[in-house]
Amino acid sequence: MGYWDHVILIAGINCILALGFYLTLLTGQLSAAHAAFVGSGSYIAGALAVKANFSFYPSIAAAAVLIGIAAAILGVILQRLSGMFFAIATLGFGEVLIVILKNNSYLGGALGLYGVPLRTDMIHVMGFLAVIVYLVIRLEGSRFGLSFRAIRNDPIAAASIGIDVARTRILSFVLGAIICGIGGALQVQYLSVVEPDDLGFYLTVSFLLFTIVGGRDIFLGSLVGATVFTVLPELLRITTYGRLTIFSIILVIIVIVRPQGMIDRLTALRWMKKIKPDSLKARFRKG
Amino acid sequence: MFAEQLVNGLVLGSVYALIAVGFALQFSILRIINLAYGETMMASAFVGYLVLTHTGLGHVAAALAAIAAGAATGLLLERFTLRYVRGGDELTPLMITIGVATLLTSVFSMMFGFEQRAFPRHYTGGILTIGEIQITLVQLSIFLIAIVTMVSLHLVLRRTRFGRAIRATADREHIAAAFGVNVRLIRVVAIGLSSGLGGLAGILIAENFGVVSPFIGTTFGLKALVVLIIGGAASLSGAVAGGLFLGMLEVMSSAYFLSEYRDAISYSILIIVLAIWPRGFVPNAVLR
Amino acid sequence: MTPDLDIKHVDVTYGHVVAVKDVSTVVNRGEVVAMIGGNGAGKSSIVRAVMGMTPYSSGEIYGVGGINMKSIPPHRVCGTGIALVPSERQVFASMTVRENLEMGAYTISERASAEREIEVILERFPVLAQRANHLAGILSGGQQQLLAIGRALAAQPKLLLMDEPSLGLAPVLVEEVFELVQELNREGMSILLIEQNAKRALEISHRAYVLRAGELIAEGPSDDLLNDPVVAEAYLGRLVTSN
Repeated sequence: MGYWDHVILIAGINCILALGFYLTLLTGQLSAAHAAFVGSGSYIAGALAVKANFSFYPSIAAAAVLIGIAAAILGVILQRLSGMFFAIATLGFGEVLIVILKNNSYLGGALGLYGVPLRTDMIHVMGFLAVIVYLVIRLEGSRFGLSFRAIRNDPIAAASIGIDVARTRILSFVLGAIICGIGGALQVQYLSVVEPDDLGFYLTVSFLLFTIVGGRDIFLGSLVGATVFTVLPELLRITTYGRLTIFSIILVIIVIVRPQGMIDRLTALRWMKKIKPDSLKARFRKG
Repeated sequence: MFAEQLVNGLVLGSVYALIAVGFALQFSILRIINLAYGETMMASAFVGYLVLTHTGLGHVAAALAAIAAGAATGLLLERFTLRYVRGGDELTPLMITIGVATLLTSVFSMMFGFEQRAFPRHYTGGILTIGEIQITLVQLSIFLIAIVTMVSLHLVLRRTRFGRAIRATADREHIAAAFGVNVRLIRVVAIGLSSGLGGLAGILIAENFGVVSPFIGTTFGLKALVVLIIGGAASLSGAVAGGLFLGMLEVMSSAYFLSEYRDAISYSILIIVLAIWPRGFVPNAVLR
Repeated sequence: MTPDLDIKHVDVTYGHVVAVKDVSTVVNRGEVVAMIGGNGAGKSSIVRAVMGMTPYSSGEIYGVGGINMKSIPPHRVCGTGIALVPSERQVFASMTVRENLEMGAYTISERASAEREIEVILERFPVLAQRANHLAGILSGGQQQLLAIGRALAAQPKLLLMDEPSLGLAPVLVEEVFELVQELNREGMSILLIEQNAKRALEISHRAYVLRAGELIAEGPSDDLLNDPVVAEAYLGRLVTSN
């Protein structure tokens, strides 16, 4: 596989992860736990592959299921929290997991889990991505998807028109987590390794960059953000910490100066008018 | 030895309490959780480190430099970022502070590398002995500085006109302005003060543990959060009590068991407390 | 003598929404002037404009002694002699009753004078004196209203700006508040009373202004307005045949 194929594949995985984070962000939940779900998905799929000889799809499926369950539990525990406090609590969750993983030699301890079979290929990533994008589009166009945004904008008003805020929030949390888990499962079977620190803060910052800078109000924003911020650093050959420095500066500037991100709804709708059929456009106008 | 651990716990706890107090002050006035607070501490500690290693000036100068650096960081943060998003939603400032925290961490790790650095120890060799307990001068200094600072802050807030103005601003900003409080000035002072406290806490931690590292920011930021949420709901003294409690808990658990899980315990407490009391946290109660 | 408050042809707009259009109001020394109108009539926008919390796109506001309020930042308004009794009380809930009063006296440079005045206020309101060291947040609605008024008095103002003081209070307490307004006025205080309780506001004021949808639809001596059929029907809920 060539260098640029590698970059594109990683970008594809990041797109999947970004969509997971985005889906949960739609209900107004900034989840620092999704980074942990990515890493956990990697650990689950990787461990099953290495220790229990699970093959490709079963390991991904198992990761999705287990992450779904974990996210449901966490989502229920934290359901009364919103905004800042929710974000803080999810931060804590990731850190707890990291500590546990670092001290657990069965899963490789601080050095991480190695030797995961290399099974993920471009076609897998793009296939999963396509399916997930399709599901997100269907969701966004549906009434259920509209309720996500309603909750983000004004939870009280949403509740008053009959939306079950708590349940919808938990669902968006779980769905986003599962997508991240799947992404993590794909990733580990490409990189062959996962470490405890992969669950950490750095990934959350990347997520913010992908979705907030990309455009928090429409799924396209996350896709563009993930692609741009995966490919560009490679193009410009920036080191990891240089990358972080620039990412964080961009994040702060965009949040202040152009909070809607690169792709805001209006731009996206105009763009889609040119290449998508009318039915899709009509669905989006409602949101 | 139990008594030794008790002393360690108290010293560490007093610093945690200091962190919590500074953090709470910021939270009450700015109404945001400043996730860059830990990194402010880290940056200040490094400034102190540089003073100690590159100038002939002693630990006091280093501490003052750290306080100044902390205050400056906080003021810059407010002036150039947070001020522009006032009155908006609560996630935006959070994202900004996450960005700034990451920026500080990456910049400092590029400047100083990823390894921990030894923080020059204060070799006066003084040891205070009370019965069986031995307390080093450094430990005593740290404890006293932290306690004195917190008591002073408490007195300022409770007994002075200016302190009342700060509390009124934290309580109801527009009404405070209606009665003559220069709210903008209060904000600036509060941020400078609280970030300066963070800087002090940062260098005290460096003195206590003898190391500085670009990555301690996140750890201490989260600890500040834990202390705040455990104890802050009650009062300022609650934050102090929370800090002491956490310090003791960490030292005891490190010494007697589960040392690796020490952090995980703190964070789990955070999640549990938040889960049970989602809004049990009254921001301006902390300033009483 | 120049009026204590002179609002001249003020417009207040929020973006595209015109909240107040061409409203003028005068409060002379020693008067109780009422401003009545329903929700959304623009009354609170006027309050905010006077207190410097909201900019006004045209018109002038002159405060005590004829001072032009436009150049005065919000935190200096109190020092010009206007004290606010905010709508919904808005006491400093995390501070004690006494501390609330002390905040009222924040602009009083002479500490002794401030302390004296606070004692006078506590004497006037025994209910507050009994709870001087209690947190203001745990007081009842009526007690908080008295505290809000006391806090404003502690600023030793020439003009009290009272924003809907009767809102949300039990009828007995509403009466107490209106009697207090009259008492304060007898002692020489100028008062601009913003109220939804039109009847009582008109009964205790010298002059009044009626606001609807941001515009003045009537003004004049309160007695006249009480008997004005239009006002009566719209705000007083009764038919009055003009004499």
